[in-house]
Amino acid sequence: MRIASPLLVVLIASVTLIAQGPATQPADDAVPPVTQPAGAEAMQATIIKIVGNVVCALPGPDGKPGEFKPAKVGDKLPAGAMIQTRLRSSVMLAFGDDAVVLVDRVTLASIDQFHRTADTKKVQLGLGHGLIRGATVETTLRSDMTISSPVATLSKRGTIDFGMRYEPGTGRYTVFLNQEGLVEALDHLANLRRNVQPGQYVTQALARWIETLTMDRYVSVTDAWGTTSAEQSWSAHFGGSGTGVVDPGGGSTLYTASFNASDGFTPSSLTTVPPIPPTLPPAGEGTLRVVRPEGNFGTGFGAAH
Amino acid sequence: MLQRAYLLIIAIGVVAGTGCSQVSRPEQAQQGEQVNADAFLHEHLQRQPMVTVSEAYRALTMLAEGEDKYDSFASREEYLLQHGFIRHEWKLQRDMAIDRGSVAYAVVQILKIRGGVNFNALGRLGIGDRRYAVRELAYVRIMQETPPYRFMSGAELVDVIGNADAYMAKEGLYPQELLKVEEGLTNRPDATK
Repeated sequence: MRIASPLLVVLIASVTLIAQGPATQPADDAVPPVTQPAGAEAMQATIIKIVGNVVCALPGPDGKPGEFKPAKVGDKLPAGAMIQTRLRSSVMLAFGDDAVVLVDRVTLASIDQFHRTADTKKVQLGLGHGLIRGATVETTLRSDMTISSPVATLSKRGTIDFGMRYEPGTGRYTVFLNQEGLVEALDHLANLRRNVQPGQYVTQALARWIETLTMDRYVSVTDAWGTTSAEQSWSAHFGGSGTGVVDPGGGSTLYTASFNASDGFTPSSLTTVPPIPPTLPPAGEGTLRVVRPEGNFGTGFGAAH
Repeated sequence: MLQRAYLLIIAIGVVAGTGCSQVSRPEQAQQGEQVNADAFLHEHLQRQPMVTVSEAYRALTMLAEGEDKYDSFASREEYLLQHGFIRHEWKLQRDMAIDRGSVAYAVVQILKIRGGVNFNALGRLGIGDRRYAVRELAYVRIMQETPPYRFMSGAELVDVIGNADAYMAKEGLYPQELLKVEEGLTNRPDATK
């Protein structure tokens, strides 16, 4: 206890200090100047579509981004340029004739590298926060495109509609591929990588696709044998939507309506399905045969039996 | 005797660490009202370990209106109160750090999310309104499910606002031309697919 007490004091004091201090360090404004490798031909991206308010900062002579100015269609953005989009805003950029990038709403992005060497075109984008989507087609020139955020990097291999969303506030990210090709996600913190096939995505959890899929799809676990016909019909029609019968086997009321031109819909019959009894029905001369005294588990009472 | 002294120190530490939860940041609130809309979202908020009520109100009016229409805390507060996005009863002050629950409640109202049983039964009465608002936003994957009484960082607020805006576009809460990246590729005359 005598050893533990000072340790407790130190621990509590530490927790107190942490709780009162800033949660994050202020971001450093210094942006390193962009450098292109020797022998590479520098290229420029072109703005082809804009929705809402988008501002861009072009790099100055020292390679650092200058002042942000409103962007317009046709503007050319070299490596080192930064892009900011507001709410309800997005911008589409063409990187040559075989790659298109969409910078989505509330996103801070940068063009870190865009150049061509003998047989390769390299595009490297930075993602401060928000969402970037891209699409490329394969031409004679090999296209090398990556999107980098502080915690993960997306590397594509001839794809259409891939992208990355990064949330610095929580450290969450999603790398996805919607249509075709192959995308590779590299997590800097875990030092792991995942291949993303069309229709798949990977998050910071780095779960395999089969594990992610089970979290996204609603799986009905209603016991078909313990439900009534009406409940089974309900599950068949609406079960996939996430809705379900609250009390399977608890009884239900069925309404049927007939239609004629003069009266419209009128309920013509009403059927009440009683709850499934907690014990099996009487057998033979009316004696109640209780098979499982601890209760009814529904087996054999539904329409499926 | 020595143990009693340790216990006293521990008690003081616990009180200092948990008893004082009110944070006031007048300079930050002032700065958040002065910067332009782009710098506000992408630079100013990204640096803040916690968000003041003034900054949250500005971000919420931007989310609701799509642009930065109002230029003062009073006008933003009036707008949010008029539309029922925030409540008088919370007694939020301009320079105070805002909790996640208050932001979540406003976002739920702006997004016109109907909510579940708990949110409607208890939330609308004012009992647990902010608590269940966080859960509603976690359900639609706009916010992470963490305690509603915790402060919110500026970067997290921007993430929430961005996700909420995407939700509004998806649900058709405002008219907008939808840019599809694959169309940008195939529509280009020099594209070779």
